Amino acid sequence: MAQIALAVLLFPAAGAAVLGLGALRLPRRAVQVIGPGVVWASFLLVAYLFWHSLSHPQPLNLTYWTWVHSGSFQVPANIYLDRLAIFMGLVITGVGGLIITYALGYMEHESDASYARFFCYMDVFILSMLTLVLSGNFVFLIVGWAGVGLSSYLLIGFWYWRWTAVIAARKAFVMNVVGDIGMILGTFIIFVSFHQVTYTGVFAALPGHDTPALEAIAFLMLVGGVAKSAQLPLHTWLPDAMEGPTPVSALIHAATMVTAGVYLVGRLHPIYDVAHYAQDTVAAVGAVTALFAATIAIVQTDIKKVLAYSTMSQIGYMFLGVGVAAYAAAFFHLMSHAFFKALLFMSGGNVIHGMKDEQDMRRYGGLLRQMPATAICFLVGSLALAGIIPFVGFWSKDMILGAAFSKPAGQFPVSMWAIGFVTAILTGFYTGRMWWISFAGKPSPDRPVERPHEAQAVMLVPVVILAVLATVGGFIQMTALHVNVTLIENFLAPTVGRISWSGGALELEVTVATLILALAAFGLGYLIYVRRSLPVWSRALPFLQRLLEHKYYFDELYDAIFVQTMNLSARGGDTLLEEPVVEGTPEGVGSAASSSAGILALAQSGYFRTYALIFLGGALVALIVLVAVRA
Amino acid sequence: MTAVLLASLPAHVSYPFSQALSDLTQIAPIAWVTLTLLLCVLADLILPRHRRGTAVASMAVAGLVVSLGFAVWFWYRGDGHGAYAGYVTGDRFAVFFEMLFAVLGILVVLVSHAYLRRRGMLESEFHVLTLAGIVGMMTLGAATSLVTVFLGLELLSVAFYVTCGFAREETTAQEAAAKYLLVGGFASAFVLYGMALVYGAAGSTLLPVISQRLAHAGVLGNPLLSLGVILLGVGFAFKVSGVPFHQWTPDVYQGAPLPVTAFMSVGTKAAAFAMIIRVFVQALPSMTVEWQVLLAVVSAASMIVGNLMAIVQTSVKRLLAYSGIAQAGYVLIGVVAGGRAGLGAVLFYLFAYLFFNFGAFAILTVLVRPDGEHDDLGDLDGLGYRHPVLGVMMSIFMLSLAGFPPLAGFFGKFFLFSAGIAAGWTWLVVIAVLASVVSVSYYLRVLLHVWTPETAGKRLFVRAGPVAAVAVSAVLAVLFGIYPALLYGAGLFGAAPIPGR
Amino acid sequence: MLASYVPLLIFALIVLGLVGALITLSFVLGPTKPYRSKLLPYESGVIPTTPARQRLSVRFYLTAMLFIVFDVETIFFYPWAVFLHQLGWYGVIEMFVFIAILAVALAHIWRKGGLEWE
Repeated sequence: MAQIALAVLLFPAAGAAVLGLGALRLPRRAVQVIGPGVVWASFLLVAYLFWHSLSHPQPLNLTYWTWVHSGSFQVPANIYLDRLAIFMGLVITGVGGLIITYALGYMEHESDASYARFFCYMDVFILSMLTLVLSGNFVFLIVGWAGVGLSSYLLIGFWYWRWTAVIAARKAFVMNVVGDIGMILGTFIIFVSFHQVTYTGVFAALPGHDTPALEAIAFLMLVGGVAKSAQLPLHTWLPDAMEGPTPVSALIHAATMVTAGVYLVGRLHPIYDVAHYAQDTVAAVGAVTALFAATIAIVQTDIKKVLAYSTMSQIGYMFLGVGVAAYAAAFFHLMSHAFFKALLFMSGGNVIHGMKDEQDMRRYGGLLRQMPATAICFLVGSLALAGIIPFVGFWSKDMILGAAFSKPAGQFPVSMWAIGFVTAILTGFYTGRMWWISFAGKPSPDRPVERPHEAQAVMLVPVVILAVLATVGGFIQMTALHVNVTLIENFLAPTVGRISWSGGALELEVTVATLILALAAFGLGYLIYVRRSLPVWSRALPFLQRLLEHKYYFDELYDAIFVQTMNLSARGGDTLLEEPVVEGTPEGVGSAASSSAGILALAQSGYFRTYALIFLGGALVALIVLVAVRA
Repeated sequence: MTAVLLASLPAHVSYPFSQALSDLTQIAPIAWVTLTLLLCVLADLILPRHRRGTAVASMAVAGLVVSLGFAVWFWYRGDGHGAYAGYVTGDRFAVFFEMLFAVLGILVVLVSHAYLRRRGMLESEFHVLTLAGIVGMMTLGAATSLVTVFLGLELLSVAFYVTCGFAREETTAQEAAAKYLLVGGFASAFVLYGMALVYGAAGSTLLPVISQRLAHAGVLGNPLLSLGVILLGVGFAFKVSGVPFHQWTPDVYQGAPLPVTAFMSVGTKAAAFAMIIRVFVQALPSMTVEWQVLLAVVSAASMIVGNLMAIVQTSVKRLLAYSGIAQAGYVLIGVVAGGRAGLGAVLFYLFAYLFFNFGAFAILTVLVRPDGEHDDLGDLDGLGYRHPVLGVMMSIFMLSLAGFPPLAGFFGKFFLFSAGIAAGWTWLVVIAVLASVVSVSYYLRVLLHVWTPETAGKRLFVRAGPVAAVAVSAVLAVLFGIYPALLYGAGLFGAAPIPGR
Repeated sequence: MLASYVPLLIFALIVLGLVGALITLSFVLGPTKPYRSKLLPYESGVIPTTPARQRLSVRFYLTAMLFIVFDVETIFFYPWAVFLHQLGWYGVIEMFVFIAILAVALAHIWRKGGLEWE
């Protein structure tokens, strides 16, 4: 078991190494085999681990060696293989494999070197993500965490000759580092409090530990989770990250990496279960982000931006889920979101590919006729996103909402539910708007391509597989309609426990109401954008539209607070500090080092007589020093 | 005269075969290399001229591999003990260094074979001298008597005196050999004088006996003993090229042929540290204050001077020479800190240093052309593009030397520094950390040249031997960074036979 | 402890004093009347025609060095001979190993031309 778990990591590592070292010379065919091949190999291994864990539910703590051992500080290189890790591993390698396979076609126009580089980065990402979820201690968690940040940076800036891509990559990196610092500080507190860094050790030491420290740990870890999962207020990087190639958006910025925050809270649930303030904050952040992002998505015209905001919104739901301790529901939504959001990005990618990289959906229109398969797949994804029965999104989202609605813990969960409820209706609306504008009606006169062709097989097959999954995937967990099928909950029960409260009064009625309203909102888009029998709402509220189009002025706000202040102080510092002190000091140190080396070099005369003299002098000095010490 | 001689002898000397066999077993790795050496000399005489080089090289490698096998076997048996009336030992400390030097010897032969071919130098004699140096180094690790220590020291020094001047036509090589011989003789005299004074105070050359006899407080007031310790310390500091006894290092490193430099930079240093630990920690624990202060000052001076001087070098060989001086300073922290953690860290660092420092020199041998060596920083321009694998490996070595995680060099420093802190030598560790920061600048400067795009250079043709040596070094430098416990555990075991303070 | 070195110190002083005294005495007492022909290099009554500082063949030193090396090594035979009866067969084998090593060295010197004068 230990070897298999390690091999899960080694396959992508080997793939990345081979692609990275051979980037200049490998034939394209080899890249096409190695890039996705290693991910699928990992997938098979994880599938085996999954099968094994069905009969052996207890978690395995596999220690390979002691990485660092110094005094009381000990970091084992270990893997904590429980069902949560296996669950995440399945999503990462399964959906990841599909997306990387899809990328074979999507990236075909790249040069050979770029092509290999792309798949090398993708394998690095899969490796980092697997490290993140398989790690058995906080140190390697941070290693994986930083690794996904790095690969995200590399992939957003993949087209490094595009200025906007570089800026977006930098923005994502900076935002993520803010989160990383939170995590690292949290890990420091963990070590100071418990003197160990393994999950098993820390969780075993939890009972009876004082809560303020745990609250501090939970809040600091949440900073990391919020940054990685693009929740308020560290969310601004995600929409910009759409500058990366679409498979990247699908894999990293929708299906896997951005859900790391949810995984983190789930993984640390013993801490969050005790740290109530932090847990409630998780829920609140999630709910507010869900609503916030959904409102912005209504006015976006770039198809990838709509999807980006919907991703933020859906991860908000997941945060809401883990924040009310409905872990199984949150992870179910994580899985279903990976299915339908990857599906949306990839079918959207097919459209973008067919439309010569045009991303403004107002310039599509009527694509249903020319790209029927893609359009249907996109519709499946949209309905799942909107939470329409029987698609997977309905079951998972309404499981979260149901759990929040009926959690017997005062007003707080219900108020969270209320926000989620409003968000669900908005989601139906913007999803419908996106589909109707892009695929229905007449072709736009501005279309860059008159007669786009359906995507090639390698790009269509993964999309269809995901469409099937998004259609039937929900039937493994039908709690939302009080049907007693609870496979996800059963599977994750040994790790994160079951949802301890059962559906109360009115929950079923509320779920049905949500469904009907979301469907109605979805249909409303037809009337507004295709039949044009209703006026576009924003005409009536220009102020609101401007507010949303500027994304609540968050970028401007950050620009004013951080960038401008920074620039101002930098300019002040430039004259006051930089030139005399900051530049002066290294130069001073450098020149001091050089000149002192020059003085030292005088002794390096090359003459034996000098050397012997200095040798003797050294011995004499040693003698004098020792006499002094003895005395 | 004869009567006097006979009267002073023990009445009966008995040395049965079983004892002889047992004693020989304890030094089997050393004996095997010696035997290989003799066979290589004979092969050099008998074989036809054009086949000598390759044959002797293969014999040397085979012999060293067998010796390594012996050493590994004894390591796992772990029951080594004193032999030859306590003059040598086969304990884990000795075996650790026997393994280290056997590995080093294999790498040196692999690299020098291609080097000597390309420069058209006498090959078989070079390998014989390499083996002699290895025997001397191994002896230093196994020595438990001042006499054996000196024997090992001279064996290794003489081998290097000759090989340093191996490029006989070059004036720089002649200068290096002459200088090394003179300064080396000077230092050997210091060591020998120190040994004489220690012997005078303790009345024995056996290290454990010295330790025992000096434990009595009455002896300690003896100023001649203190003087002896200083003289020993000065001689040892010369061998590890510690400041201010370092000045031969850059000149000799630069003048000597590259494989010799690589061999010397790693081998002499490791052997000298084995000697320091044997003599100072094992035999002179009662004089700890003296040698601790001496070594601490040398350590601090080495780190400061080595790193500062390295910044302004333009020759990579000289740069690495100064870097080696600084690295010796880091390792001395472990000796000064002492204890199992400190000595374990020293052994870890020496073994890991073997790979990344040797590897860095070995890469330079690739740039050798029949007309000479090309080791200016400018000669490295574009190496990463002319031969990406070598470029990546050079990056690994430089980053490891600079102490970047997760490479072996990082953990080496980490263990040394944490041992230093734990033993209360905070000021020394502070200097070490600051010096390491300075060192990053020149290690990265090398990489800057390696990764300077240059299209003019042709792709390099590289023989299999050096590439194998470099690749093994690189892989191990990374492996010991990812899995330092493997080697650190061995280091702790290796330090175990040295009595702790 | 240090007192045991006192005889050594006295011995060293006597040696230094004696040598110093001898040199000084011969310098002071000896008549020195240098003139031109006395200062000339002198070689069996013949005025030298070439400078005395000539490059000498290193063969001489090489042979001398080799002689000393082997000479020193033969010294090991004496204590060995004294103990031969007590060491028994082991001693004989050991000495043959020693001789074999010397023989390898000799063979090497011989074969490499170290013994050839020209």
